[in-house]
This record gives sequence, structure tokens and C-alpha cells, in this order.
Amino acid sequence: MGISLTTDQILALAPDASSAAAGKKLANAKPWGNLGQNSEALWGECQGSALYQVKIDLSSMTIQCSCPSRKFPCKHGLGLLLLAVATPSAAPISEPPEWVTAWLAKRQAASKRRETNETSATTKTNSGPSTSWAKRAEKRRELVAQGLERLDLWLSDLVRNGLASVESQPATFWEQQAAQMIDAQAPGIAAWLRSMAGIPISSSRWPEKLLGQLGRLALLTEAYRQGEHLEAALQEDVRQLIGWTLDQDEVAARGERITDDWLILGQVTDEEEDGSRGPKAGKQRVRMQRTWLLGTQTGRAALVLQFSAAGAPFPEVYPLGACQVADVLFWPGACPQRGRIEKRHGAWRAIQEPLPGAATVDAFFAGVAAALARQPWLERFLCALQQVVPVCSNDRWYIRDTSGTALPLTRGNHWKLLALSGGTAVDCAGEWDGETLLPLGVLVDGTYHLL
Amino acid sequence: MDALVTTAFVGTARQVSNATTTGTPVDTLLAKHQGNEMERGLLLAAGAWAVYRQAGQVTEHLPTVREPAAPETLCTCSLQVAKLLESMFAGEHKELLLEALERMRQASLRLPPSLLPAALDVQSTEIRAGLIAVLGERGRWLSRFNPAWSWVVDTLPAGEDTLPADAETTWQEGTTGQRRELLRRLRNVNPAQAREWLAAVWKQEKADVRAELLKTFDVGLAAEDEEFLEKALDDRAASVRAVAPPLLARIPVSAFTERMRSRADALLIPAAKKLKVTLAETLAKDWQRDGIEAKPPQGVGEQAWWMMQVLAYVHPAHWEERSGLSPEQLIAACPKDWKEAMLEGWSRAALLHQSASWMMSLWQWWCSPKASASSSSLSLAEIREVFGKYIPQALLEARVLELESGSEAWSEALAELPMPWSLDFGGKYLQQLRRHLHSLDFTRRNYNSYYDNWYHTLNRAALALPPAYFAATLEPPLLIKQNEENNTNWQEALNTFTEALRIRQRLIEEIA
Repeated sequence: MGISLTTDQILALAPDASSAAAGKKLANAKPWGNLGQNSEALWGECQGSALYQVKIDLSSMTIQCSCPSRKFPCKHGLGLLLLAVATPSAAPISEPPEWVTAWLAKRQAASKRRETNETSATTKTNSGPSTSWAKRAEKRRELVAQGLERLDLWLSDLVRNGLASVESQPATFWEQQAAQMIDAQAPGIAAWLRSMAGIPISSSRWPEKLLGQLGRLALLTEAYRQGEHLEAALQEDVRQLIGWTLDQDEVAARGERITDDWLILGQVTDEEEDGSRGPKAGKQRVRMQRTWLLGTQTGRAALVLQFSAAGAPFPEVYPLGACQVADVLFWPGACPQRGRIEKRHGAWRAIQEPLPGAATVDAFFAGVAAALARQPWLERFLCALQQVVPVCSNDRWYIRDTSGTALPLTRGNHWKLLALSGGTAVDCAGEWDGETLLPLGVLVDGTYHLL
Repeated sequence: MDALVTTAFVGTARQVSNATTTGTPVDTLLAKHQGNEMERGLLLAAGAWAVYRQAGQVTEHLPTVREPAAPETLCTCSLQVAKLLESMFAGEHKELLLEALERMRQASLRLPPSLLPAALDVQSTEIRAGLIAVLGERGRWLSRFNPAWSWVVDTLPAGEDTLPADAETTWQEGTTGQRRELLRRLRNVNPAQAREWLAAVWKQEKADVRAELLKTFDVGLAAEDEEFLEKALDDRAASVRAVAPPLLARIPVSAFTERMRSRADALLIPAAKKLKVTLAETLAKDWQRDGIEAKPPQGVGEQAWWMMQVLAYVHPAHWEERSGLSPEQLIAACPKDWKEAMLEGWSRAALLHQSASWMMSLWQWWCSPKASASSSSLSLAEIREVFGKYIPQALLEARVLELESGSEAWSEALAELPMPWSLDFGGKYLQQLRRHLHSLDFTRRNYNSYYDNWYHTLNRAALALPPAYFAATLEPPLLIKQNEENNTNWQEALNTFTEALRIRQRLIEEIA
């Protein structure tokens, strides 16, 4: 079968530049023994300081290595993939050795177990909650209700005293309120408040921006209080925004599944300070990774979120610029956006076809408006546009569609985008945050380039 | 600021009239939600208004777009080469970049667009020169968007003797670099017109521009240029004045040449296979006007410094005529006290006047054990390197082979050799290297690779070894005794060395 990924896509899997460089060094047959592949897996033994066994599940691109490296994927895994792509003959089609088959069997068993759990979870929910669970849930509802009560008073006070006073407030001003929301078991709102702390220094238009955020927060508390009048799907959104998390089983039971050929268009990693474990546990750096997927047939966008604390690697790696037929399971909501890959069908392939995106900026905005009409708290959107020209004018960057309408790009330079397009129309994917577009990738002459 | 924002900014407590309407359809929606206190009403209005604006984003319209890049005439290099180049731009084995670019130029290949920003960011003039041919239409087009990349436009497209069609416009409006390049070419084709162009703008140009443009007289220098250059000696800017003397000195019939020669003749008088030196007591005004600097560098005597500068302008063949001696005899005839200054002056003169026989004689002298660093700021090695460019490679290599391999003089001379090495020299180096590796004894007390001159030649060898020896170097592998402490430096250096050869091998295979 062979692996139809480009070296770029493989290198994009690397956790950092030094791993990528080390992986490249291992991409020659010399240190390798017992190389082989079949339709399911790729494997080999690498002679490092010891003999390491590397195995790769090709359907999920799960890489496993017996080396002690804490990096994931490690250089051996990357090296093996790079080698197999550069010289497919190095890893001939063959019967996998026992250490590979045993691993694959274990993974299959685990995934089956998960499926069984999912079904049993559904039955469990149906059979009615136990009393202690109900008590805890009731307790939390009370806490949240009280917390939102206080939050509303605080919000009104802010507006009564004027937002001008906020500018001179220290960061603890927001942090205190966020901590109260943690105590009220509303971590979603806590994180939102923390993100507002940066607004008063962000731009000259900060009062307008801040008021918009505070207003939307007020809309959220209002919506929560009017819960029963909202449609069921929007109630799900409101609960998630406030901070009720759904476990895998709940998502599986209530979320929507969409089978499609999904394009992995790009990834953004943000660092944020997370105090959600309570101020006493101490603050720690949490990285949040957003991976954007676009369904070829349905045109649906999916946002896959991963979190990592204290520099740990993200649990899943996604080959950017590749596509795969898969089931994506969406979190329940009025306009489902967050999702995860539940089941994969077939191998990853490189993106080559034109992006199934919007033809014009206006069409993209119409889609944003329709989504906001269903779920007004959506923050970010996947923006895939066809046939746009990058433009650099007076140090400001845009992409311009065929009708001449332009979308501003994020601050900074976008030389690679301009170089790749050469001033001609290309298909471009990016993340729209309501103000600017962060370009993630561009399709030129049948090749998808990450930016 | 909108009324709603103003109200929230100042605070509802301080306002007489409190606007909670937005003037948009949002107001009708909010009308259904009466009964809230004013602050709550304002917040909800602001929230709805924010969503309203986000959903109804007003688009910008950009009417014009710049011309796209012209279609390419060259093919892009292979993906493998692109990968190699990408890591070189990132700093890995960047010493191989020049060779890679040269091979691409020969094979009529260009860089893939994704590498262009990194390529255009390159600062080294040497590598920039190598890049020009492989940027392609896309690279030249892209460079126009960023002022930091103007070096591309400054370099006119290839074609030494032809002027671009828009030459006059470029001359009027182009960058200094473009105008200098244009003038240089015009001097090749029509020196009279080049002088006219320059004379027409001379008065209004800034000093550094005048100096840059005057340097083009280097091309097609002739007696007709004397008048212009002579005037430049009196320019109000020192940077312009400094350009003229070496040019005037190269016009054999110029008054400047005559003046310098008579000054030199007063300084050096040949007498029976000897040279009698009479130094100038004071520095005359007319000497200074002709570019003789008054103040010597530290550690050099004033009078010797003036003599050195005068000698540097006079064609060295003049001394052969005057004394009837050969260059070697003249070098030998220098009085001991002034030898350094005289040899430096002659060396500069030999380079200025491109005198092959003198360069050869002087190079041999600078290579001899008698030579010592002169009064100039250049070290001996640097002087030899400058001369080495004019000496046949075979001679340079023969000299290295005569030196004791592994000695400091040997490793210095090796580092000065032009690249790539000849087949003969490459083979001998490899043979000796294997022998040296075999003889290495890391258990020897005080052995330190840092003091091993062989160790320091590997970097140069990685670049200079001719491709014919790649296979012989890689197989059998270069080995040193394993499992001993002390050998990690060597092991790493050998790894880097063979890695560089492998990359060069791949470049040759991929850019065929």
C-alpha cells in the first residue's frame, strides 16, 4: 500500500525542531533492521544506544517505540516514517513479527472494549442515575446558580462604575472573579474571564471589545436562567460554556456522528494559564491545541481540541495536510463544532483536490452568520476559501476573493503565503477569530502547503 | 465611540441620559426583554449587538491587485534538493549552500516558492550572488514587496554587455545599487555616454552615491576618464576622494601616474644591485591631495607609511625598467629596515596593476620562512590568500605537499587552497588522512584533538574534496580506535565530515 504522506506532513508530527532533525538523521536504512509493513502497520528495529522496536499503526498514525524518550512521537518513529516514505522498498511488504502483531491485537481489543463500554454507558444512563450522583448534580446546580447570581451583580457594577476604571486594575481584578467562578464550579466562565484580562491593553478599541465580551457573558447567564425555554441543543451549549464537561460516554450517546473524507487543514497551539484546579493547586501552564478538520462531502468543519499540562505531549498526533475517511463524533450543541475522530476507515492520504471551501468572502460570512444565529457564543471559525489572492498593502495583509472582497490577515508577515501564490488565486484555509484570519495552509497546484 | 460604549465606559452612575439602544435591529429584539434594571439591560444589549456585528461583518473591498509573478522559465529543483536547501537556510551545513546553488545554476533549476522568504533573508553577499540565478521569476517578483530584499533588484539580470530596455528610467529612478550596475554596463558599451550621464547628475547626488557611482570607472578605464577623476580628487567628500587615486594610477599616461612616479623615484634610487632609500621628511600638500594618508596605523612609522602608499600606486614594472633587475632581485635588494614597508607597497601595486610576474615573486616571498607580518593590518595568511587567487592551483597545492603534513604551516596553507582540490591533491590528502587516523593514539598523555592540526582540516576537506573521491572516502569508512575516551571529538568531526560528503553526493545525484 505504501504511505502517501509527504515528508512535510511527517515532520509536522514532530513535537519540536530537534526531534524533527534527529528523525531526519535516522531516515536512512543504516541503523534499521527487520523493516517491514503490511496494510495495517509499519515496523522496524533501530540500533541506537540500544535496540529499539518501533511500530506504527497506519490507520490512526499511532507511533509506538520501546525507547525511553519522553518526546512523542520520538525520533525513531519519525525516522521510520520518513524512511518508508523516501524509500518504500526499504520496508518490504511482509508478515509482521510477534511484537507487532501482539501490539495490534492489544489495540484492537482496547478499542472493542471502549465500544462495549460505550453501549453499556448508554444503558447505564437510561437505567436512571443513582441517588448520590443526583445529589451531587443538584449541589452543583445550586452552586452554579449562586455563582451566576454574584457574577451578574459584579457585571452590573462594572457598567455602573464605568469600564474606564478597568484599565488601571491589576490582573488580580479578573483573577479574583475567575477564582470565584471556579469555586462556583463554573470553570468555563472562569477561563472566559481570564481571557478578558488582556483586552484593556490590546488595542485602542478595547472598550468596545470588552463591552462586547461582557455583554455576551451576560447573555450566557441570561440563557442559563431561561434554560427551559431554550431548545435542547442550545441548552447543551450553555451548559458546556459554563463549565459542565461531558465525558466520552455522554458525547458518544448524545453527539452527532458524521462520516466523511476529512481534511486536516491546520493546527494552532495556544498557551494559557489554567487555574481550574483551584488556586491552591498552583497555576500551571496548559497548552491548548486546536486542529481544524473539513469534511469533503458535507463541508462540515470540526474543531479537535487537545490539552496538555506541564509540557507533556498531546495524546494524539494529526498529520496536517492529510485526509482520511473517518467518523467524527461532535459534542452535542445547536451548531456542533467541537469533535473528535472516533473511527478511521482507510489510510491517510495527502490533500490534492481543491478545498471544498466558500467561493467568496461574503459566502463565508453568510456561513458565520448562520452559525452564530444558532449558537451566538461561537468564537472561532474554520475559513476555507477558494481562489483567493494574498495581498500586502501598506504593511497590512489580506486575502482577496474573485469579487474583490478582502479578509484581513493576522498581524505579522505572511511572506510564505505570498511566495506560494505568486500573486495568483489559490485555495486557502485559516482560522477566523471574528477580526482577522490566521492562515493555516494553502493549496497550490495540487499540493497543500502548511503555513 | 458609539453611544452604548460611551455609556458603559463612563459608567451609568455618572450619566444623565443613558443610552441603551444601539440603533440597529437588535433594539427591537431587546424591546421584548423590558423589566431589567438599566445596567442589565445595557449589558444584554451590548451582547446582542456584539453578536449582531460579528454576524454582519462588514467586508473591505480591495479594488486593485498587483500583477502576478511572470511565468517561470526554469524548472524547480526536486523535493529532495528542496529539503536539503531548507535545512541549509536554517543553518545546517550552510557551508555547502554555495556549491548547491552553483550546481542548480548550472542545471538551470530554481528554488521552490516556499523557500524564497528564507533565501531572500540571506545576508551574506557571497551567497546572495549565488542566489540571483536560482530565484526564478517568483523570487524576483516577491523581492519587490519587502524593502529588506531590494538587493535582488539592485542586481540587474544577467547579460554583461547589454543594457535593459528601460535603462534611462532605471538611471533616473532606480536604487543606488541598480544605477551603479547600469552605469557599469554602460561603461562597457559606451564609456563616453556613461561619463555624460554621471556628469549630468554629479552635483545633485549625495556623497555616498557619488562614491558608489564613481567606482564604476573601474570598468573600461581609459585616458578619457582622467579629467573627471582628477576633479574628484578635490571633491568635498572624503569617501569620493578616496575612490579616485587607484583609478588614476591605472591610467599610464595620467598626470597622477607621472606625479607618483617622480615621488617614488625620489624615494628609491637603484644603485648597483642595491636600492637606496631616502624617506620624505614631511608630507607635502600635493601628496595628500593625491590620496596619501598622513596618519599611519599603530606601530608603523610615519615616513615608512607614506613611502608604502606611494609605492602602492606605481606599476612595479617601473622598478624593473629603472634598475634592470628582476622582481626577485629587487625583493632581495630591499634594505632590511624598510623591507616590510617596501614589500607591502609592491604587493599592493602588484594587485592594483595585476602584474602576474610580480604576484608570483611576491607570493613566493610571503610563503618563505623569512617573511613576517608587515605593517598592514593583514596577517601573513591573509596576504597569501589574496595572492593565492592569482597563482595557479597546481603551484599552490605543490607548496602544501612540500610542507610537513600535520604542521601548523601546513594546515594554514591547506586552508588557503582554492576549492575544489585537484584530483591529485585530493587523493594524497585522503591517503595521508587515513594514515594519520590509523596512527592516532588517544591513550597518549596530553593528546588533545584541539592541538591536532589534522583535526582542523576536516571542515575544509569536506568542502574541497573533489567528488571523484567521495566513494573512496565513505567506503571503507574512516575509522578511529573505538571505545576510548578522548576520541569523541574526532568521532563527531568525522561524522560531520562524512555527512557533508554524503550531502554533496546527493546534491550531485539530484541536480544532474
